[in-house]
Amino acid sequence: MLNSLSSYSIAAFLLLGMSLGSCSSDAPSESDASLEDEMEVSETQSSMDDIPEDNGFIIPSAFHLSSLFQKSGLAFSDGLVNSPENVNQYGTRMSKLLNFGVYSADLFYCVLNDQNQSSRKYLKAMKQLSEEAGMGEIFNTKTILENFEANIDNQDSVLKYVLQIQEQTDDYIEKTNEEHTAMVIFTGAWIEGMYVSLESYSTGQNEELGKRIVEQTYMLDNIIKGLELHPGDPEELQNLATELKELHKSVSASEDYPKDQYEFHEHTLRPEEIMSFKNALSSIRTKLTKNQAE
Amino acid sequence: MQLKSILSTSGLLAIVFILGTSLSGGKKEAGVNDACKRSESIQAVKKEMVPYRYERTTTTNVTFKNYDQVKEVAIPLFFDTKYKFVVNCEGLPVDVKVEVYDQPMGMRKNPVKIMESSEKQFTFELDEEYLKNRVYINYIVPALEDTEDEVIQKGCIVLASGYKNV
Repeated sequence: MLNSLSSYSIAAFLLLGMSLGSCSSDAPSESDASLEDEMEVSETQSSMDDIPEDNGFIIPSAFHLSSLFQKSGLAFSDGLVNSPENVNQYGTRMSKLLNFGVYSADLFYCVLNDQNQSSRKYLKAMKQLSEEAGMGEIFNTKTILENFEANIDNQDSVLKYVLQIQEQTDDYIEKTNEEHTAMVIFTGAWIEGMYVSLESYSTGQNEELGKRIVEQTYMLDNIIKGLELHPGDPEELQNLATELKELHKSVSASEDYPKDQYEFHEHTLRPEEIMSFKNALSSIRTKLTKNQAE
Repeated sequence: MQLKSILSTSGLLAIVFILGTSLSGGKKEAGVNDACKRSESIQAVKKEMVPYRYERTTTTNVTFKNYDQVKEVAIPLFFDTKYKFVVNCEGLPVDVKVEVYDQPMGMRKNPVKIMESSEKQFTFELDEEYLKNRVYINYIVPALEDTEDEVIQKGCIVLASGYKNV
């Protein structure tokens, strides 16, 4: 009985061994397939004749945008920023990521204007959102927060620690291949930076600030594409992309809007056109920060 | 006695299984040789950024194929700002050529090639005289012939950007 069982077993194992061998040589295994998938996701490679324009677009840092606005005369006004107390309103991962970006713009705005007590509140709100969005690693280094608290009266140190957080965010995103997440965060920061600048522009119509605002509208095309390419097509992002498309369409319809997309244009639009842009952007920003987009 | 027989049968089965697998031409699982040294490259590019304000690094992953590839990164620029870029290709198994243009690939009309280099690390700067709002960096990745052991060759290029707007 045992002998007969053994012969059947030998035949079965031999068959199994051969079939496994042939599987690995003829058809891609599951692990091969996942390896290929990983490559496609992690890269933006294309052959020589198949390169879309925005392949590998490098997102500027939110801090760079904030410092450009400040250099152009953006003054501080406490009531413009999104209150850190709204932090518990954001329920979905996308709204958490978008508002992580919003708060990062507010944080830089405060830091650049020596509002260090407010900066601390924004830092805490960002920490909470990063943890809730599954990116707690960014603030895992306790020393950043502790050092920030300990040096809150030293402007250079505060700036250093805040930039360290931006660096940790970039690092986390690169390590986890979440470049699409970076675009969501940047979108939040861009909307908030533009909102604050447009509100400030509306009070004094500073021409330099107007030029900077118009310049930033050239980013809209890349932001929209980035949101549309987000894996899984989250409804919130698709809706936001649609609204931003409308915004882009309205601003670029102006006769004064630069038509050559590659040239620098230090031109501003007419004040009434900027104010119309401001109203449209404010409505998008309100939905985002009051969590009406979910 | 019966246990001994079971054990010897099991041993035999194991040998037959291994033989069966190898005789049927089983492929070795594809290996990957990844030359990327991201942390070291990041340290190197940051060091080179002085006296500009370091903004961020971007890593482009490369998987070599048996055909040429071009990877393009587009960088937005803002007026009244000086920029410095450091490209580090030390995390690649073979050299690549890097070309910098004022227009994107596939849409170029009288493009200006700002520079090209095949060095492991190089730097370039753009000042206010560069009147474009984007700069395009092309990594020309050469083909690598498939090897018998089918090891996939990978690596990465680290790009750091910095600015001065004081």
